[in-house]
Amino acid sequence: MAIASTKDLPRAALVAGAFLALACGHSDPFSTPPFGTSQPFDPTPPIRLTLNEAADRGASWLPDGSALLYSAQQLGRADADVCLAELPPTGGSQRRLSCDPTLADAEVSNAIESPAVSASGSLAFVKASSSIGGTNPSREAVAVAPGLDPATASEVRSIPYTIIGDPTYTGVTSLRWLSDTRLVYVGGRTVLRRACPDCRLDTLASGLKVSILELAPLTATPATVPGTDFASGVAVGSSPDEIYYTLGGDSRVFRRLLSTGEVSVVHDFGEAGIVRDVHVVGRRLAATVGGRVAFSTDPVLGPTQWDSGGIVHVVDIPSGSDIELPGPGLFRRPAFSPLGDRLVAEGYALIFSGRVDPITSEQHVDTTVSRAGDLYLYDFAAP
Amino acid sequence: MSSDRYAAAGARLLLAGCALLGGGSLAAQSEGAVAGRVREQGSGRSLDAVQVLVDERVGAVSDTGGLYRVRGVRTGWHRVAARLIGYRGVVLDSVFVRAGATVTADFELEASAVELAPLVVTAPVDELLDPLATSTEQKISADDLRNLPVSSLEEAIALSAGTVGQSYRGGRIGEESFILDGLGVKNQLDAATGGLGLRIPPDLLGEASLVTNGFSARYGQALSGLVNVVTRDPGEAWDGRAAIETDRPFGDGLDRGLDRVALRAGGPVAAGIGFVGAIDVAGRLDDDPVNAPAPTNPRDPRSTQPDLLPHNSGEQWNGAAKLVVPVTSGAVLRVFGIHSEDQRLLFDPAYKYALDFAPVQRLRGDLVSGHLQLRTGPSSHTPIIVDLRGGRFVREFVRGQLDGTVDYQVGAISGSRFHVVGEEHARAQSSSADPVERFGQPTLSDATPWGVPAFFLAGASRGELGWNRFGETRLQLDATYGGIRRLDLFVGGEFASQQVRTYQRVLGFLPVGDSVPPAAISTFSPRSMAGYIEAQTRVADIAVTAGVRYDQFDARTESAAESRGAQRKVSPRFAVSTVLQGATFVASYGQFTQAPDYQFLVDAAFDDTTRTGRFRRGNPNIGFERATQYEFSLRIRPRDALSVRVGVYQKRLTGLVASVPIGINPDSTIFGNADAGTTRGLEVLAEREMRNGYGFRVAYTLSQAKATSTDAFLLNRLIVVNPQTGDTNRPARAEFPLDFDQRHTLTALARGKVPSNIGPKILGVRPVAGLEGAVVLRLLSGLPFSLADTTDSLLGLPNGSRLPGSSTVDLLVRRPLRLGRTAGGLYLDVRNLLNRRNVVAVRRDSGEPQPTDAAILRMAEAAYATHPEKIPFESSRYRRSADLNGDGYLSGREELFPLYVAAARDYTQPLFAYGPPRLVRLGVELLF
Repeated sequence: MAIASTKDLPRAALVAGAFLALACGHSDPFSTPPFGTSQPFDPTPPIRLTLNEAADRGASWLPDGSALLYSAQQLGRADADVCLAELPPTGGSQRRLSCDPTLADAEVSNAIESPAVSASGSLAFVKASSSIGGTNPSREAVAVAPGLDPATASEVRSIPYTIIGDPTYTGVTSLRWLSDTRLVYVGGRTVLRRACPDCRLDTLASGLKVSILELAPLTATPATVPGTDFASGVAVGSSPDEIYYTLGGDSRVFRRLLSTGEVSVVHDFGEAGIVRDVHVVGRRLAATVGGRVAFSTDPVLGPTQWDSGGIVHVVDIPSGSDIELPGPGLFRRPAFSPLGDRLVAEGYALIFSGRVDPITSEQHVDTTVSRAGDLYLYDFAAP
Repeated sequence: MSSDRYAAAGARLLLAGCALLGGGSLAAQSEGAVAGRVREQGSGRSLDAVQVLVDERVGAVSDTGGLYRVRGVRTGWHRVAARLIGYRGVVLDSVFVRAGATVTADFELEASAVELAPLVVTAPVDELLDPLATSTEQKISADDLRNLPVSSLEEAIALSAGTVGQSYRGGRIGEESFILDGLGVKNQLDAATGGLGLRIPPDLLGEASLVTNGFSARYGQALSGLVNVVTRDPGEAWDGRAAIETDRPFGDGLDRGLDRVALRAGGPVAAGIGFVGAIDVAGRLDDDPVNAPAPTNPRDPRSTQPDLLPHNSGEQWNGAAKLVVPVTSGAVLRVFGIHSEDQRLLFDPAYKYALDFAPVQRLRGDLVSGHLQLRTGPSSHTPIIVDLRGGRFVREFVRGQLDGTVDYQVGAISGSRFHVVGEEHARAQSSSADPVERFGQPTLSDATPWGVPAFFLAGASRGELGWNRFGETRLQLDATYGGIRRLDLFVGGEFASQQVRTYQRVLGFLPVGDSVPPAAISTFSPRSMAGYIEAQTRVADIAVTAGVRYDQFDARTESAAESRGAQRKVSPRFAVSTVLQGATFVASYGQFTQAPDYQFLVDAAFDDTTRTGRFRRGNPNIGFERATQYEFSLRIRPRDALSVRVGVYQKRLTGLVASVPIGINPDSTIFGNADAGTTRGLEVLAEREMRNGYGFRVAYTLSQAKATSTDAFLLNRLIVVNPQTGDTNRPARAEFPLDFDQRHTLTALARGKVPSNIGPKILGVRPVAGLEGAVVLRLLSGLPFSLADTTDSLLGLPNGSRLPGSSTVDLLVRRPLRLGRTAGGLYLDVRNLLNRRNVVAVRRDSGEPQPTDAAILRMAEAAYATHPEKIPFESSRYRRSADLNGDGYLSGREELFPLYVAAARDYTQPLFAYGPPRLVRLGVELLF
């Protein structure tokens, strides 16, 4: 295209300007900023991560330490689901809350418990459901999802199940990935009991044996680990061949090599009391010790460990040095971050209630433990 | 082949057509005629054997009375000449022929013994007073489309008197017929609620018109009017146009994300074959912009960017091409094809904070048509023109949740077709009662500024999935016979074979059950036919047109037992016109019919939030919707270049589709021909032609439109439950204002052009010289609406209240430019120049765009009562600013309730209650 004369220059400039205008970008419509935070409500150690009035429990870390998963019961939902929640590693707002795994689950109460993520990113959890308001799960299973979405999970072991020679297994706790194709957990019994005629119905979980479930190929019956009767916790060591476990009524933490069956005592908390909920990362071991726990023989259930929480201890395995982590109330199920620099545990508040004896008019103070725990974070890397 | 053989062939075709075809809506013509009388100058004696030429080709030879008629003249400007040995020829070089109209051009030839150059008359022929033009027709030319602030045919037609959007003379949407190059095209499936699906690229438009009165018996399938579109033929030399439009340079507030590219090229190819094609691609990030006020709450993200709505983009792809092939000297074949796609993201306030789950829709239309014209020679004693047309039209619509994400390439243009989740399920017309695959159940969003679980949805769509496909193959035969003196005879018919497939599912994430209706599915193949005969004659200054039309359709639904077979209707039409002292007076009477939308033949499941229910039973026995219209019009020319048209009409509508109650349950209804109504009005149109640099047009309409039901989905008798007694009352049938009953409409249009040699010079250029401008003013009185109480029970009569009036001023300024040998221009198009905030809808409970404070509080109370629970700090619903006591919980009424109130206020923002804001586009065009 030729410009006829210099008189055309302004026109050409006009056209050129118009074309340049086309090069501008368009305005953007409004967008909604994120409202979440990655800072805890109160940074005072131990950092309280959750303030949920219902139960928060079963925390575990993602393999890269970028978040932690836990089970959070939702009081605001009509079905009172226990949902899978994801929190930033330093606390703050939930990044995700997955409740009904499938559409059919919308009509029932669902629980996603004991979430654990493998190194390859698969999610294992215990899935339970019941009619809304029901007390017993009508369906329960160990489920595995290829990612963090529980809706994509498939059931790998229904519950209850039986193993010849053992009592019926009606519960699964301390679910961990032994490798990308093997799960380890404490198989046990879960029953509903009332501590007293007027008491609220409570769930009593007591371990039977450490069990291993092969996923590839999927085996119908889990294998039990010998010598782990009345197990109260299990953790995976530095290799898939190594597990740590605790037993009901025992103050010792055991280590077992699965290939050889060699068992050794890693640490004995002795007078500190019964140890359970063991978790190990590198040379650090964490466990719940003492507190409000008892191991006795129930006339119906047999040997049973009653546990309302204890003190979290952190042990340096090579040196055996043991420190107690301070905190309000009692704690359960500590879990180290992958680097071992952070630890999250369920904290249960102590409830002090006063009562006047109607006969003697004496004042009595009663102490109970909250049944709804919150998560607390111990940040060892923090200054 | 001789002309006589053509005549015989034409007659045979005509007879065969009449024997085979019953007829249907005949397409409007894409051609007109030139007729008149040739006299000897001085004596006034009629001259016979005078050759009348149109564009240098002999079109007719005058008879012994001096009368001649040239038929089948393409719409546009023509040069008409008369010549006879011994007389000096006369040339009228500005005869504008309009589609379907006859232009009167009389000649007076001067006897001359020597051969002189013909006398050239440049004054255009005045068609206004032509008594042969009996229809009320408002024309839009290609120049109008280019020079007015409009960018589509629909917008241009909306400038006509008697239109409210796409409603004509108060009728419902879809009561018009669309005629494209003489071929009728109609979305017979859901014209009342859906679009045609075809968009003619404006660059390919030759002429368009809106006919609203007792139109010819040629036309059917319409009650309110017909839109006649004639596409341009390829020129004798290659030419074209390229244009780009955008609003990018205008920044925030005026940048609505518009980008548009239009291309047209055409010309001779080889052996007399001509080709013309056009592509028009447009995208807009906010395709349905609203002039709603910004929210006052600064936490609302829209408060800082109130101009653009997210997830509201639109993208239109339109392409069309035409091939003109001269088969012989008397036969021309035209093949035309058009493809249109319109896909949109739809902003849904409920998904304001989870846009990925808001609905999308895609509308696609394809048309391929052919037209073969046979005509006898100009000197034939039995002049016949036979037009054979055929076309295949397919329209497909889908709506649901977008499958995937949109990958925009340029602005809002993605270049890829949207698909919705479950589309294959819908196409397969699955009747499964199971939830639709990949559908989830929506939850209450936690991503709002308010946090609380209320009103806003997330996680999944509403579960709506709609799909339909309408196909039609149409054959059409028209013949014009001019062998009878002073009489033109038109006869023809058409046959249409149609295919209807529909699928509608609501709450698709749930299985079909008590609260979830089954998918509404239909597959059937209707047929329709029509035939007509019409005669037009002129005796002195009186012209009479009379015709009769026969229409028939047969739904042919799957279950023969359901249908009573074909529906039939005969519709007479009559018009008489005369010239009275410089004015033309036309009186017309006509009966009109149209087959109902086929969507009313099948069940309709829809998720309706009003109390009208969610289900309507289809009725395969629905018959024609009918109208009887009387009209008187007067056309005068008080001054040169100034014309005035005045028309009054009354139209009685009967058999309109409405929902008929069965029993007393308002959900138990069936579609039926139960609605009746009346529209009447006065239309005044004054126009000054563009001369001496300016012109204007003013159109005013006073109208009234009433019916016993305002919408096909509403009951034709409104059931009322007496709050005192609990009795169900079914009132007598009464007529209420129709939804498009706009009483007063004023449209004023002015155009001007600055001469090219005036104005100050700046750097050797006169920037003002040559400027062209057009301004359009619209003043509209308010449309009706129904006022309801808080329970959505009507207060007063349906449509008993009125919206406020509205007005807009639109402006187009164009500066032609020439760069070297290339012509072009820059133009600025501004709509709603004054940025007036027009209210186009209101809430039924408040009569205002926004709800009352009491309504907001009621919504908030209900939501709070549903979810009064504490919100802990770690919850994604926690908002620190609302935690008044800083305890890490949002708890109690003091902290939670204000959030629910804010959420209710956000959710009920009256966005779409307001019309478009000021819209600006800058265009650059090149003509080659």
